[in-house]
Amino acid sequence: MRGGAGDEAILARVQAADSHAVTPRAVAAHPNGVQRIQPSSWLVPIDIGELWRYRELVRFLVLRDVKSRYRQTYLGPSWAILRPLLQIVVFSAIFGGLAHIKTGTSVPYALWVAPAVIVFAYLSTALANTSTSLVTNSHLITKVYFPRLYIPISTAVTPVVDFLLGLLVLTGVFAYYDRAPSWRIVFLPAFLALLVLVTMGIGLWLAAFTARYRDIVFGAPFLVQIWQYATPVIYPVTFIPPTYRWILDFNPLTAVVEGFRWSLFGLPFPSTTTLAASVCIGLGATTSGLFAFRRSERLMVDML
Amino acid sequence: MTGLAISAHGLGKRYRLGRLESGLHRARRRFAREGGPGHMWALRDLTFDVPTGASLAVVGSNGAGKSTLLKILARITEPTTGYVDVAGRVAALVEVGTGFNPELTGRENVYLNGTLLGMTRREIDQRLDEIVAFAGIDEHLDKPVKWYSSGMYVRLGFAVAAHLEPDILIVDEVLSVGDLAFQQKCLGRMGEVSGGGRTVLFVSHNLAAVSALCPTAMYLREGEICAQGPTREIIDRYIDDVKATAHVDVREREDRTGDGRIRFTKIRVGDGASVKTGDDCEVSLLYEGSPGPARVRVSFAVYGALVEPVFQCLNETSGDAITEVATDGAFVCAIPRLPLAPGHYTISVYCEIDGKVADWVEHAAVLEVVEGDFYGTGRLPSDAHGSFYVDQRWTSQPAAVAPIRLGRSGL
Repeated sequence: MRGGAGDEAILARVQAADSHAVTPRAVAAHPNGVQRIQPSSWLVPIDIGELWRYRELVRFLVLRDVKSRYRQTYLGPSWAILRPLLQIVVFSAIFGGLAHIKTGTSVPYALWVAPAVIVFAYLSTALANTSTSLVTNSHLITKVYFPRLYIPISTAVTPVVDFLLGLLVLTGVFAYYDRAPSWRIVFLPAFLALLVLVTMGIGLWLAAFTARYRDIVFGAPFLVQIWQYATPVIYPVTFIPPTYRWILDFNPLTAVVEGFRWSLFGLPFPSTTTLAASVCIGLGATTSGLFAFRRSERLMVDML
Repeated sequence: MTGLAISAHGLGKRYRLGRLESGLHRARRRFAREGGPGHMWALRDLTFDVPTGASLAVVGSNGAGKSTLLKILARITEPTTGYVDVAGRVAALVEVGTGFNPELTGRENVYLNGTLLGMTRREIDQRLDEIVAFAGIDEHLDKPVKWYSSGMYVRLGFAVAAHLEPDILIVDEVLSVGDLAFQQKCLGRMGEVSGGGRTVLFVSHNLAAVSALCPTAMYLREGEICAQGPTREIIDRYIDDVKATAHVDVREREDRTGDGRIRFTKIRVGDGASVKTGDDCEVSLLYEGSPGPARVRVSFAVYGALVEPVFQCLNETSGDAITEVATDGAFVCAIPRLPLAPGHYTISVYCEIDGKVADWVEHAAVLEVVEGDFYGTGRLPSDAHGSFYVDQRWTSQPAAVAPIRLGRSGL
């Protein structure tokens, strides 16, 4: 297949290279860079340049997940609308109707609870999926190299599509009560970003932990459930006695839920403490989560 | 373009044996002062260089560490010791169409697969027409891949990979898929790649393809470099080794896989010495062990002179369920009128009990087939025309008549 003379030259070089095997020789400098593959240390650095090179991967991973998510379901993507809608109805009936929880505002309970329901629908889907993302993508991880960070990241981004469909439900509830959202709705994306940041941080830690132990797969739904009760979803902040209110202050989702209600209904802006806590916890969890994931990603290829 | 493309120093990889134990198990084991699950070195102290522009084949039997080496070079897994320097972009084809999703269209899958392999969207945009032409699927490009035939699927997957243009290309067994014409096309494309100053590492069991593509080769045995040099010499050495191993008594072999519920002790074909082409023969796989009633999958595979797979017999495919296993017995496979051409073959044996590998020995025995009267005519075709004999009936007929009636034995 190849010319004889070229073979001879390469053979000579292979043999020359062989005889030098004891004294290491450097590889040729290369326009595409020289890379050293070696066991990584305790702290695995995050290769920003590589993440940038592969950035378009997120888009296609999300596209894949969105497209395959509702396959083999009868109702298809309508589930993204049906799920929050039913939950709003149930919450309004039980907590607004039977338990008579007062929102302390003029906003009807069903409308008031709606944004929080959509927030938790996103959180539960995102956390359940990120914690199992490495297992569900094992066929990729064991066959090709790419920045594995994009697996939990894209998995946490995918349910944003469901979130946006959930906003349709919200629009419907607004219309049902013949109301319009406040002009502050323009700030809604900022609180959505905060929600994704917090979720990403927790999701990365869960994914990193699941690489070793699968306990998280069972624990994640439970975690979300408890978290929901520790967040002013079905009750307003004032419902909690001041002695225990610090729990809400340091719950990063309080600021998200309160922020949504501020931007949609013009209710009071979340307190500075809880907003600062939320941003700090979100940033802290995401940053540390990135490193935690980097540290355990090398283990999982050999274990999957 | 001289210098080295790959330079490895003391490269080693250790795997943990068995599953990761739970915290509770570990606590109990510490309490009982038992040792932990063992480790296994898949690669040990590999030091080698590959010059830029070389095509190097990596040969060796299963479990010799070929795939592990490939996975380290492709950065799929990390080495445990040592390091390797690589110059330029590396692309590894471990599988065709990695990440293809049945719900996505051909076009979307090209982009997903391409970005996974390290191409940017712009690069894929530029090469899309070429990729589609190479795969020959133009009118189906915007249909979901789930409607594709398996041939189209493979062609599209390889087409993406073939347009990667990396500096170092690592190819695992992937070429064994796809039809022959397409394989030729891919080999041609790989030839272009290595001709264009790129470095190619080719891992394959197909020694014919290896010698066609790569002037130099490296032979891995039990995780270490056994030999490196001109492909022909290396292949000869490898084949000699396989034959030598096959001559070792199965009972003595240490390089086996499985939980040992049974262990093969002897492989006997016919009367034990050699068999004649065309004779009815029995292959007996003798073993020791007493697993009792169990669901058994037992098979043996026959390899030819170039360690190429020739055929396999598996009780599951023939529909012979084995549910009762005698103590220290034998699995016997009867082959009527052995159609193998005369020559030397090796036999690998495998047994799975209740879904778990019990014993697996590669090249456990040698099979010598001598000339016999397969066709009952005293004639055999020349051995240049393959290693199989096929029953046949010839007639001469005018065009457009009823199909040939096969008389004997309801072929």
